[in-house]
Amino acid sequence: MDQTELIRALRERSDGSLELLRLHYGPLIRYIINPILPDSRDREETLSDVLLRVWDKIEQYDPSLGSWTGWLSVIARNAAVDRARSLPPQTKELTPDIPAPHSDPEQELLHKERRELLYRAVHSLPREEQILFYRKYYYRQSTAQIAAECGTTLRAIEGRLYRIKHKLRNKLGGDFNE
Amino acid sequence: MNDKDISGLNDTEFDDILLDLADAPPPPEVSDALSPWGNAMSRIVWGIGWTSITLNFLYLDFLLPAVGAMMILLGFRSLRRENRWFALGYGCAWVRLFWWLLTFGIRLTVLGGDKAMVDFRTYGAWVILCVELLMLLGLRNGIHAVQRKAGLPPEGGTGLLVFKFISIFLALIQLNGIPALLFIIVYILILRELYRLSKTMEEAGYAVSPAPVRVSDDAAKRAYTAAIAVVALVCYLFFNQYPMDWQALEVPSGDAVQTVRQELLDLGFPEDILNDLTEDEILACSGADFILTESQDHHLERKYLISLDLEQPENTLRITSVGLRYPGERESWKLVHHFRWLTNDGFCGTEAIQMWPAFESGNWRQTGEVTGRVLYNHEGVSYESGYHYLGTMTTSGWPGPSEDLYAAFSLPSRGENHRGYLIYDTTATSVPPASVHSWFNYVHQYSRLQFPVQTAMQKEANGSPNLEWGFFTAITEFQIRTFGETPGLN
Repeated sequence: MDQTELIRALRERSDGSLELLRLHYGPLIRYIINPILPDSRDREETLSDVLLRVWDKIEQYDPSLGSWTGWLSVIARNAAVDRARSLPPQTKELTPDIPAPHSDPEQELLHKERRELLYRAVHSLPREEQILFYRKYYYRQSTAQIAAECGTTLRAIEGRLYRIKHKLRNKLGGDFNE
Repeated sequence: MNDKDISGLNDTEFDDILLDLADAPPPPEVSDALSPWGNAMSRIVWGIGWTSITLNFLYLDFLLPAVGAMMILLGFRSLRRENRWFALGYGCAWVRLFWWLLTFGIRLTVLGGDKAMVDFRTYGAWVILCVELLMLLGLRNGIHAVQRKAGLPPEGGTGLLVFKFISIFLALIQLNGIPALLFIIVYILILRELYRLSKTMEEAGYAVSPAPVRVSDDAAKRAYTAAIAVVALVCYLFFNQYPMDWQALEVPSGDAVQTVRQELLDLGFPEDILNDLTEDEILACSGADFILTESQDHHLERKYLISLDLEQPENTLRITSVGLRYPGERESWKLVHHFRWLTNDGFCGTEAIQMWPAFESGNWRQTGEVTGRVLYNHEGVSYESGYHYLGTMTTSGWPGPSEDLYAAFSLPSRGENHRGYLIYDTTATSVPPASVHSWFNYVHQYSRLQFPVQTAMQKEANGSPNLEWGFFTAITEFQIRTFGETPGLN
């Protein structure tokens, strides 16, 4: 189905537009959700959540800011991460470095500054390394999935991710401590 | 967050920080590059596009199929576990790649022009066409299976099969006068179908799960390039000459042979050439009442050789023609065309003789077979071998194709006094007899570097120009004026 027609149908709240969205872009949404949520029930519920979010936010989509699939992938990713965070936590030893789920304003400001530092560092990387970074840390894809889709070995991807993290450590180094 | 020095964090801790901080959307060029099927499909589509057309310039008839075959294989490799149709495509891609390597190797050898090899490649090409159709079927059905898996209706790919059938049909019927435009149109239609096929995967392709690989795509490409280089090296080094059956030369003895030898020497037959003939050939020369001899030296120069301060290698070929007359109701001649390398800088491939014997004209007729052999000396021993090929072949050229006599052979670089000859009989069809015109053209290969490999005989039979790279042709005409009191040379 033509993308423009579907967007128009969603904006006009046409009957069946949501079903068409599920039919044509369900595979993309599942592709984004699946690495983040291992449980199939969580995946299906999150898929429905994504469709509703798209329905609610369709007016916010601006083609000049990015592609339709890019916009959908962001909504799907955020929905999956929100779902993952809402699940009962697995037993894990807490260390001081694991961020607290509810931070005070000062912590939030610090968090924001560090995020900006990180993204400046990430965007200074070559394009191929940026893609790897986002696949691993934003879309949370497994190394095995990344290797298979890039047509290379698991070990090669692990090596490249190691080098990316090493670069980021060097770039971030002192700035994180200020 | 704790202000722990980032350099003090272990890998897991640093990972957690990155996971926590990386929640801003990626730039469009990153999110748009995210697809499990993109690499695979683009490789298959480009690979099919490049292997669906043959362009005979700038070595594109080699480069495009070489790269295309590998791209198709890598594309199907990613998808081979997705469903059995893609697995079928993967198997077909391997067969195609192997066939390309095999025919590439054959084109680098002197075997490429042999009839058996030509037949093998022709039949093999038809088999490969069937494999290609199977591969396209696998691609089409594989995509349909992915579309169904994604909950979408299957579509696309049928047009590609249809146009491929049409292109095969056009090649099959081989009608003269099919305009090139028609092939171009079909090719454009194939490209359009490939583009549409890739678009159909834009929605369903996210359901694809690429297979893990043990050898990365880059490593596979390097291995493939190395394989091509090895095949080329092996073929150039070991399959660039005809296999010859060199045997130690047996010197003819016996009283009858010696008697005929003396007769011929008394008539002026060159002794060095007489020494090269077989016993039967010497005996068959008996009865001649007149002998004419003509020699010509040819200095062969390589094309594009820049002399500067370098001394040009000497390559001097002496061609000697001997005519023996036999009186009778109709005059007969026995003609011996003999070549001898006085100096040479080695032999790297194949040699050939193209002959237009006197009996090609209507004034003379052939009596008996054309015979001959090649010889050389090494460490005091003389060796001889029959020709690898001695017979007729169609020669292209102006004013039209003709059936000419060819002898094809290879000479070893070792040794010296490389030589050979052809000998035949001809009888006049008229009284008085017309002049004898016998052409003896020697084709010498001086460079191994050529692609595809062309033998000296193929070069001449294709009607290639005299000074084509890698070859030199020495042309000799032996003309005997038969009228008058005694025959003479024109």
